[in-house]
Amino acid sequence: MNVSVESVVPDKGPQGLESFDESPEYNGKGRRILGIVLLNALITPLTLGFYRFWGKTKLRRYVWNAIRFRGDPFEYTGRGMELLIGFIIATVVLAVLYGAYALVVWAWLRGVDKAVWQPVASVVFGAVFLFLIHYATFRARRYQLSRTLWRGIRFGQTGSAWRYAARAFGWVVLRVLTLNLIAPWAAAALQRYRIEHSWIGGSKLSFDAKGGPLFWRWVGTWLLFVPTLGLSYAWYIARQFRHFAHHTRLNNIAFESNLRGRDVVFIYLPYFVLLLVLLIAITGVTASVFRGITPTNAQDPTALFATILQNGWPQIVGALVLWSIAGRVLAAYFLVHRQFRLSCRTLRIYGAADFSAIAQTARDNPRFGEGLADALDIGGVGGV
Amino acid sequence: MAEAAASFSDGVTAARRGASIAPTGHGLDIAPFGQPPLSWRYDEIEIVDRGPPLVLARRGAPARLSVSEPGIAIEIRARLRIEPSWRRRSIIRAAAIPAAILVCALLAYVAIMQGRAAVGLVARAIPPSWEAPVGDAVADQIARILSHGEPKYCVGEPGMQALDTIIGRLNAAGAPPIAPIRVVDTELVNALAAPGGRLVLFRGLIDGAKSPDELAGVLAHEMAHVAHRHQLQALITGLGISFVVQLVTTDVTGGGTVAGAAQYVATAGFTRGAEREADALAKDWLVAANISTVPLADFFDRLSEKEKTGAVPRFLSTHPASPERAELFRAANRGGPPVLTPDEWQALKAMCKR
Repeated sequence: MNVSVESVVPDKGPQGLESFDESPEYNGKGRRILGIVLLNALITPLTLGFYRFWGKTKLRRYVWNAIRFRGDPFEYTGRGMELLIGFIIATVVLAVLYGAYALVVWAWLRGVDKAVWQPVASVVFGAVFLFLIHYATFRARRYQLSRTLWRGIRFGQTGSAWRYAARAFGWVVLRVLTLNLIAPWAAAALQRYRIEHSWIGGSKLSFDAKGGPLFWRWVGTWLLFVPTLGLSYAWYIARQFRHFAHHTRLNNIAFESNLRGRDVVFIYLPYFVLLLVLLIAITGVTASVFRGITPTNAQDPTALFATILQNGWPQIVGALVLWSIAGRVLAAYFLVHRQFRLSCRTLRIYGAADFSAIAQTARDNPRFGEGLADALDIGGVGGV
Repeated sequence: MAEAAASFSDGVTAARRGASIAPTGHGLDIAPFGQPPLSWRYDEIEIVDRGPPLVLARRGAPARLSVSEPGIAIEIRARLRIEPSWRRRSIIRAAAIPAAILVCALLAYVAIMQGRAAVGLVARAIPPSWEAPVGDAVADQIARILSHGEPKYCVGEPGMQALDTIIGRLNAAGAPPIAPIRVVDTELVNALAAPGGRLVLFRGLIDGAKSPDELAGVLAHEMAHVAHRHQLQALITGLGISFVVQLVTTDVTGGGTVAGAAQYVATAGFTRGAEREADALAKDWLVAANISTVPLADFFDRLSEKEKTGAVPRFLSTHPASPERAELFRAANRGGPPVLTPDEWQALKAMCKR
């Protein structure tokens, strides 16, 4: 069998330029994702939770592979063991942090008026936690990009998680001070830091969106929030996404999105409605359990727990298992599968690019997984 | 030998070029357009994406070969399936999960069976002097909460002396020395041992006690907790359990609730065991001190009357069943005169009056 070599050579221009205008293809199957998630939900408790790192890896592999650009699939090369080691390191670090915090607060509160300083200690703790969440999110993104490949070329993220977290924290303070009016600038600034530190091989992405053009839409979103039952927020999110995509570039490659507010609604509305139905069903099943609770034992958590369990622990256990499995399935279907499908369908990537200019680069990549994000349980939506 | 069209990225740049490929007996001959030909052995090849198109890699290297011709893709996959190293890998992959489940079941079994022993070892490594300041802070905090503000301690001097008499008798029978008892002026019927041998007694318990021997029994039980350093062990167990529970339940929707429930069950298991240990030791001291254990048995009988509201499954209960405890103390009884004189008992009962 002989097939002409020329027939599969990509259409190349005179200087090795490929010109294209297309959407990434997504061919993930909801049924396959469901299978992976259910298997994970089954094996994870049987392995005392250890399997979830491998389960998450498996799901990512499938979803990454399902996305193709110019005919070639993306790849995820992370390993379950990396996530496990990262998680253990993060747990130890967190334990030390919590311990140090508890000691400092305890020593400090001994000599001062607790009524005044206890709230201060709580605020300090909240601030540290907020900072850590942003730090962890950036680190997790770094790990995921470093394990993402296309045509064998590694993605990557540079920049400092400390600096990113400091910026994010500063923006939170400004948002509070300006009654959140500054949100579009905050979103643009953080997106700029993320995108401008993202790489494909040796080629850096660039981002030049400003928050200003979004300002009046943002104001309108809040004026219309109540009359539209919150739907205006979906329109804003779609608008912001289009704005950001339009201002993102990779060498000569440009991005354009035609994401609509209703697309966002069609993903999140069924998700939340089904979650609510699930919650109501579970509440119905367990309602009898909560009848025996009186104000007296509600004050004491142990007594409260004992009362609940004694009124019907099989219902409680069943409800928790149902909630945990169905919750995962819904998240994986809507927030992963439908979300990825929508993002690919609405994204347009075009330009005339010389892909031989995108070269593999050795980068100081993280050795272990997104531990802190995992330990703080902000690892991402739907188990991805 | 078939030859087919494919496309090849060399892993150095993201460019993609045409290539002709030919599966041979031991590997894949690849001739990329405009680059020197190369050969991948079947035992080094990994499937990146089953496709179509089938995407292949050479183990650990970033070069990618994309085979869109279905016939050739099927032929390559068939050759990989009979490759011995590939079969080995797929067997390992299939066995990994059952093996992991088995190992984890074993780990859980050992942790449940030997967990208390391990906690005891850790507790012994911590010097008792570290416990004292924590114990004072905990005891004062409890008193403050129950008094709704400044702690209301009962300080009637004759009553204190009567308590010291009971404690002296138990000390003589082998109970460890403890810090001065805190008696809190609250209706709660309870007593507890904070870390570092700090005992807290609630007025409700004294009011409800039918005899000094009953009170002596409760005190012996709490002092047994002190002797075993149960509070410290509970602290260590709590930390250990919360670590494991966190590992098992993060990433689960409603993880907080699951974690709370799991922690409750595990902690209940610990307290149940600790209560049994304390009962056993208290019984020995009471007998050695020549104090009747029947009043304490009566106390547990009264308690079990109150508990008859509903059946808590054994593994969820924080305490052993009261009838079982009553039985233990009734059987141990060797009798003895009341531990306090009627005058001392009256003074103790009145120690909270101002």
